[in-house]
Amino acid sequence: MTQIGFKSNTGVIRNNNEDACFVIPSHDVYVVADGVGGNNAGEIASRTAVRGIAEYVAANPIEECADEEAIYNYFSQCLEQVNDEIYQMGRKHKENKGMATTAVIACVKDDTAYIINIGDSRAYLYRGGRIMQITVDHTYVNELLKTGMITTEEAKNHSQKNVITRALGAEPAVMADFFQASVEKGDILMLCSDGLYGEVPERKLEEILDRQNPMPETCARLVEEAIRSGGRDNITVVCLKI
Amino acid sequence: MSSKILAGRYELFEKIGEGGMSVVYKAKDRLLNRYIAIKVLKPEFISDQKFIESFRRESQAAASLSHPNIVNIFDVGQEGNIHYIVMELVEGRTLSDLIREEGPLPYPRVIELAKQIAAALSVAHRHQIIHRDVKPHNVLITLDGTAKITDFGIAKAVNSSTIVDNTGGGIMGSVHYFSPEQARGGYVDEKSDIYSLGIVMYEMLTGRVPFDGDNPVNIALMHINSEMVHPSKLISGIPPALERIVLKATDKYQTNRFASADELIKALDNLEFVGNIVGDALFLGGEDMEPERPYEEPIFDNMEEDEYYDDDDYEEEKKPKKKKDGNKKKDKASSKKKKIIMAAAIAGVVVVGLIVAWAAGLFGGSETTVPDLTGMTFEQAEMKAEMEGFELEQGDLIEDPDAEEGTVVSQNPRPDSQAKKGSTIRVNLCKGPGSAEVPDVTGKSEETAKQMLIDAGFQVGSVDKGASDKDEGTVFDQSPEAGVTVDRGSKVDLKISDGSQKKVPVPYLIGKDVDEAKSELLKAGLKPGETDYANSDTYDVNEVMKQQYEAGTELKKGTSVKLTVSQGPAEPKDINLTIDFSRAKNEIFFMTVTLSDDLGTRNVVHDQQRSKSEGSETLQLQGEGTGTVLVTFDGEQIMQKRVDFTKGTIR
Repeated sequence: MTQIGFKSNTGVIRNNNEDACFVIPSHDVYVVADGVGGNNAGEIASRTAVRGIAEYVAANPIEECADEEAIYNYFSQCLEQVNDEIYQMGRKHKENKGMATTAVIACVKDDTAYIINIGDSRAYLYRGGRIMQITVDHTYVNELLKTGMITTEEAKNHSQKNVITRALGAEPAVMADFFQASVEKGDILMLCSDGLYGEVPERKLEEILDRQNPMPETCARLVEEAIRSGGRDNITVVCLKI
Repeated sequence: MSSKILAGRYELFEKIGEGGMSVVYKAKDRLLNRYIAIKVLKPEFISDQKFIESFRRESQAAASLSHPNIVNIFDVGQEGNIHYIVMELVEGRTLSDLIREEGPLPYPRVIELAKQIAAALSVAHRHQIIHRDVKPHNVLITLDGTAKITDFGIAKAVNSSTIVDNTGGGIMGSVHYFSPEQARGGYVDEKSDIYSLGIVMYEMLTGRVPFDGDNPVNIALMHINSEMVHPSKLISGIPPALERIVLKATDKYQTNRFASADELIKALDNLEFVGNIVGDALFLGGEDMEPERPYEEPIFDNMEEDEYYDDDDYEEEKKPKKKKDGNKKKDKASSKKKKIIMAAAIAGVVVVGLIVAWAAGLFGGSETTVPDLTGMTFEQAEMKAEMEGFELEQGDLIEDPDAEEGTVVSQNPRPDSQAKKGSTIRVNLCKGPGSAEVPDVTGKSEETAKQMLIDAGFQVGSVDKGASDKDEGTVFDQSPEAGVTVDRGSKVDLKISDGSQKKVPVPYLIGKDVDEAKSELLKAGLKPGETDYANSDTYDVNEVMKQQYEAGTELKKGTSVKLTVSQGPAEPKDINLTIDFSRAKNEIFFMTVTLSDDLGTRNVVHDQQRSKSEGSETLQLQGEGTGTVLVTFDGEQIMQKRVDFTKGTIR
C-alpha cells in the first residue's frame, strides 16, 4: 500500500493560493497544478484542472489501460478535455482572460511511475538519499538553456525566469511531456510547484526526505522549509512512498 | 469603474487602452480641470510587493523626464489596492496602428519618426533610464504626427510569474523587438533601446518585423543568431544609407551599434541634410551618377566611399565581383569616417558650399533652382514645375488652417535650393483646415487665453468684460465652449471677468496633515469647521481624508469647511480556528470551512483534501463584525462556532 502525504500553502507574500493538488489513492493518480491569471483566475484555473482530471479518472477506469501506449492515450485525452474546459472559460468570461495552469500528474502502475507534465511544476524521484528531477520545465529560460544559447549562470539571473511556454488552458491545443520511471519499494515520488523547488535547494530537500517520517509529516516539513526560506510563492507538494 | 474617483481628484471615464500589465483610462483631473490619462496596474500584479515597488520607482524616475516626444507623467499614486500613473492624454493612435493601417511608411516619414523617438531615448538615457521595451505599441502618434513614447522602464519591474501570451497583449509580446542581450538575459544598456528602435525602423520601412516565428523562443533565437533580410530587398526605393543606419542600429553586438541615441540622430540628420540639397535623385539615381565619378573623386572621396555611394546594389553590376569582399571591410571603417564627415558638415558654410559645388559638378551643370510652389494648386504647380524642367509628385495630405484646401503647403526639395533638372519635386497638399477641440481657456488671463487659442489653431473673436466671481482680468466664459470640435481657424469669443463677484476657492486638503489643512483654510479666507475622525486604509493617521466641499469649489469668504480626518486603519482582530482531524471517517477526506460575517458568506477552505494522519490544522480567520464558522468533513458538519472579529473571540 502506497503511503501518501500532501500539503498546499499560500506562502508568506501572496494573498491567495493559486496552487492546487488532488490525490486519488484508489486509482493511484496524483496531481499538482499551479495557476496563472489575474483576479482569482489563476486559482480557478488550477482548481478546474485538478477537478477535471479527478472527474475524468473517476469516469474512466485507468485500470483498463493495458500498456504504456494506452496510458499515454488516456492522459492525452484527459488533458485535451481539461485544456478545452479552461480555455473556453478564459474566452467566455472577461475576468478570466488569459488564465491557465501548469499540471504535473503521476500515475503509479505496478513497478512503473508514469509522469505527465505541462509547465514548470516538477516531479522528482527520491532513492537512496538522492533526488532526481524527472520532468523538464517548460520555461522560456530553460528552452534557451537547452539550445546552449545561455549559460546556467545567465539562466539563474534571467529577468524572464518566471515565463512559462506551455500551460493548460492557454491555447486551443496542448502538448504534454510523458515520462516513465521504474520505481522500487522505499522510493519516494514527489510532485511540487515552483514555490517549493524555487526556495529550497535540492540538498535540503534530500535531507528532509531522508528522515523517514510518515509522508504527511514529510510534506508539512517541506512546506515549512520553503516558508522559512522566504515563502515568496504558493507552495504545494505531494509525496508518495512506494 | 465608470464613475470611479481616485485620490479625490481624478475622475475615470472610459477605457482607452490595455497593455500586458495595465489598463488605461481617459480621466479628468478635477483639481487642475484638465483631461488626462490614467494607467491602472492590473490586479494580478498587486499581490507582488517587489513588483509594486519596482513599478513605483521606475515610474517616478520616468516622471522626471520632460520632453515633447515623451508622454509626460504627472503623478504616481496608490489608493487602496489600485496603483496608478497619471499621464498626459495623447489624442491619436499608436505607431503599431499607423503601421498596420498605412505601412510601409514613406522613408522620409520613417526618418522623421525615428529621429523623434531617438530624441526621447536620448533624454531618458541622459537620466540613466533605459526604456527596455521600445516597440510601436509604446509609441503614440498625435493628430499632428508627432511621436510620443510611453511606458519608460516599466518592463524592468516585471517579475511576477506569467505565461507567454501569443496574442501580443502580454508581457512577452515585445519579444519581436528584443535585443539579443535581452533575449539572453544579459547586460542591458542604452544600446538595447537603440536595437529595438532599429527593429521599429525596419518595421516602419517594410511593414513587417524582421524576425517572426510561431513561438517566442524561436524569435529570441533569431535575434541572437539570424541575419535579417535587408529592407531594400522587400521594398524598393529605400536609400542605401538609411538601410545601413537600420543595420547598424540592429547589429548583434552592442559595441557595433550607434554609441548613443544622439549618434543615431546625427546619422539621420546627415542623411536628411544631403537629401535636401540634392533631392531624392541622390538616393534613387545611383546609375546616373556613376559616369560623373571622376569629377568629384579628388574632393569627396570619403563621402562617396562610405556613406552615400557604398551601395551593393549598383556596384555589383558595374564592378568586378571581387569588390564584394572589400565592401564588408569598408562598412566597419565607415563609422569612423562618417564622424569626420558629420563634424565637417556641422562646421558650416564652407563645407555646405563644397557639397553644393560637388552636387553641381555631379550633375554636370544641369543643376537649377527649385521653384517655389507653395500656395499653388496641384495643377498650377505642375505647370510651373514643368516650365522649370521638373517632374511633380503628390506627397501627403496635411491639415493646415492657414492654407487653402488643395494648395501646396510644403515641398521637397525646398524652394530656391538647387536640384538637377528633370528630377522630381514632391509636394504636400492641404486637405482643409482640419478640425480641433476648443481648448479650455476659462480662468486664464486674457493674454494667455488668446495665445492658447492661436496655438490651437483658432482665432480670437469678440472680447467683452462682464460681472463674474473670477479673478479680475481672467476669462470666465468662452464660446464655443471647451471640448467642442470645430474647424481650425474659426473664432472663439471670450468674456473677461471684472472680478466684482469674486469668491474664494476651497484648497485641496486631502492627504494633508490636519493642522496644515486648517491653516490653509484660514489662509484661503475660509474657516475650519467641525473635525470628524474615521478609519482609513489609505490615509495615515491625522491626514485629511474628506473635505466638506470639493477642492476648487467657490465659497463666500468666511465659510466654514468640515474635515474628516483619518485615525488609521480599522483593525479587526484575526481569529485562530483549530480543527481536529480525529473526527474524520476516512484517511483522506474533503474539508470545507465556511465563514459568515458582516462581509458576507465565503468558503475559507473549499472542498480541499486533507489527510487524517496530519492530526489537526489551525486556520487564521479574517473578517469583520460577528458571525459563524462552519466546518464539514466529506459533506458532514463537524463543528460550528460563533466568531466576533471586533473582540477577537471564538466560542
